[in-house]
Amino acid sequence: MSIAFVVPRYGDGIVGGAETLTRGLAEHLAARGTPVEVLTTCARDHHTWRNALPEGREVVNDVPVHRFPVRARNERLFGRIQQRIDRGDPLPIEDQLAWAEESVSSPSLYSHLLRHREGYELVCFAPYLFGTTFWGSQLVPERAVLIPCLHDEPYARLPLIRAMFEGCHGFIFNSPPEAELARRLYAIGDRPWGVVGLGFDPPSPPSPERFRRRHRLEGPFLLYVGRKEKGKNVPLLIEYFLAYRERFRRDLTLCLVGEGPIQAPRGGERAIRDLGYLGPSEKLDAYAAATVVCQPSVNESFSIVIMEAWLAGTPVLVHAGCPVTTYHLQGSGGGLAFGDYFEFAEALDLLLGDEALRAKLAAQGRAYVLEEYSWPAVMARFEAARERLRG
Amino acid sequence: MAEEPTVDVARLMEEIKERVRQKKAAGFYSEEELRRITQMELEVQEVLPGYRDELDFHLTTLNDIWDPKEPEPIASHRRVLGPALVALKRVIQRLARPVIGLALARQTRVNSHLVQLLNSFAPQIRDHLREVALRLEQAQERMTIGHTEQQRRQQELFARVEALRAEVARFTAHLEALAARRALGELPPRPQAPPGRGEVTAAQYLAFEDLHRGSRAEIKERQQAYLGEFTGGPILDLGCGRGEFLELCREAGVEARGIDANPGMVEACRTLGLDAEQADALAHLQGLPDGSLGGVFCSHLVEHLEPQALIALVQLAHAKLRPGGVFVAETPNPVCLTVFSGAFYLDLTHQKPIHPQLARFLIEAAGFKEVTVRFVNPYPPEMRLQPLEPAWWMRRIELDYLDALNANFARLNDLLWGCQDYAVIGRRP
Repeated sequence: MSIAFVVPRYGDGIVGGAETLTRGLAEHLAARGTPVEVLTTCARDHHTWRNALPEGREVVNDVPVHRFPVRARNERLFGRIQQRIDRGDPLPIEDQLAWAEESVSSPSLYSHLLRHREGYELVCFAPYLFGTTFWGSQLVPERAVLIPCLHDEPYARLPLIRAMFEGCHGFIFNSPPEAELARRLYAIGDRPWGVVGLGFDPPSPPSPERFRRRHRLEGPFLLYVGRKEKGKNVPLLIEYFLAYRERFRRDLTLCLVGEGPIQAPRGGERAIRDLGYLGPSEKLDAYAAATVVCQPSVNESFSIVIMEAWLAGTPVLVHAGCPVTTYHLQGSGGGLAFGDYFEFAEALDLLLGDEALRAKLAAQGRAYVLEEYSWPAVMARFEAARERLRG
Repeated sequence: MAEEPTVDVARLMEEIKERVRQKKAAGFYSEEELRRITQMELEVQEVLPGYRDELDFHLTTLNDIWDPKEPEPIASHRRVLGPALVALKRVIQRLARPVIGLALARQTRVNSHLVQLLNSFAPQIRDHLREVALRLEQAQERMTIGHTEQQRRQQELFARVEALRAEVARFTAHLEALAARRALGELPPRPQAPPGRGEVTAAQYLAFEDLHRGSRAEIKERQQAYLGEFTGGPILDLGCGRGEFLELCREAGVEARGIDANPGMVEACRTLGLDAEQADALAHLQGLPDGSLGGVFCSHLVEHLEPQALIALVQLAHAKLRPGGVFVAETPNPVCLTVFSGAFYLDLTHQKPIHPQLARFLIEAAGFKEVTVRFVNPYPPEMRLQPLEPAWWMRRIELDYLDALNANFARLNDLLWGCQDYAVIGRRP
């Protein structure tokens, strides 16, 4: 009996929180000799979901991966319904189902799951918001384990999603606040669950100077890493930063790393540097070179970014409205939190003006990651969760 | 090495909050600054602009840029050459202006008239739209109240069905206790029923079906359409009931056989000379050789099955059909809510309604292709909400409300009095 992971995308060069998490868990399980399989689609791009990778079986880092083609999608219908969900409009169940159907979906993956279900000890679906998770978990409810990567957003409150959660056998959450949210939103009090999270290996020594030279950065800079979108609170960060810079520190720069629709406002180009997507090693240099890493998002289920910042030796500034990042902050003491602009300005002032404080906070953060989120610690939690899920 | 003292972040955060309080109290932030920051927070939180903001935005922009003769501002980012370049460009602009003005005179007039036209109509349209949106919201609210009432009634029905279930469970337990006592010899032997009494006859079953399902002729007429889906026999009719579909097959010269768990139904079929057998649908399917069937038909059977049995049935049907073979399943349509206040809960053996998209998904997952869902047996038109007709005295705005109301009626009609059943049809590739 093996453990199956069902995830819409998988493989080299595919970035994303749930994708990184699934891959880490699958590879570490395989390395420990646990039979494991990944069922995924041929898609690489999470906007188009076009079939780009060859169908069939391959082995990626000792993990058998089965790829199945994505069914043709009605993207216009999907986009229309998605907009209505974003606006919080009440949706008839037909539209919710159509939305799940036109999200990424793969009938041949479902056939495989149905035919081979007896061979799987557990089938882990990640993340919660895709067709493969919704439809797949309907077929194997008795062994379906959801790794939802959940945060509070309109999608999480759809009756369809509620039904999916309440139909699953059990759950693996990334953090205790995520588990609390799920148990508040859905009637799943009697189901087995565990908190596991993602593991990290200590990174190779970064080169902050190389990063500063390449991007001609002088003086202190605040770093944001992640998708540049409203849902991640990037407009708020930009406004706060510009207001702070104008009043207190004319030499401060904000660097944005990642893709997304948000552009730096006109007139702010010199203060805000949009660096776009960076590869893993350059991103690590960026974390190490930054004076402070800011994570303004209130919608997180884990926040890889703050862990990476701590490992690179930089303290973080997080939004006090996010249960997950503040949970990590309380556990680690690796930075400060702000509830409004005034606290943002005060906290930033304190951090920019005290190098010794920054170093201490970052060291506390790093110790927390190495203790709580090293791979051995994460795999021990996974095995404990697996025991409970097997019941 | 000495242990570094740890930094207490909670204490630091308290200090930050205190510092903010002190700064605000000491007037560190001016009134203007506080107002600007509050405004900034509001703007950041604002939702995406709606059509009204879009309209205002474009109208204001058009009013700013309608005159193509208006010179564009000239600037240069070059430090040394910049001022000279700007001066040169300004001279060229001034010299060219009369010529450009001449060429653009007509365009300027067109733009001017267009913008004036928009200025006189667009705000009215915007206000009108706002009013319509408001009315629609009110209509929707009224509809929601109606829907809540519907749900309440449905809840009542659920409660009554539950009470009936409990009653049946109580009687069953009582009967079982009596049977146990009889087995132990605690009760006198069962009195013999006079010949012909104490058993449900085939005729009684037929009467039940006539009452709740429709007459034989009606069912045959409804099922006639499915015959065209099959490309050849033999067809297995699971849950064949009174054998209407078997009879249609015989009339069309297609080989067909029926299975039903109910001996009364099987007897009724055999009386008509139809090939029927009393058996469990799943067990019977399992016993057939793979690829031996040309079609599997089941009308109002799947809603009686537990989820695992349903999944097994679809998989078995796929295995027993030969390539090109067709699977057809008809079942009550849960997308139409009136089904729940009528037919569905008349039958205690119904397990759960099956959503058409779930049915489609199950069939596809089992490997069927060319899967279609067909909605059938619509409620008669006289049961639906009737649209309101426009009258000669109505103004434009009232006609708009009428349209909105009729659109709402149409939505309610689809929700409440749409099609009573649907069929999902798939072909084995």
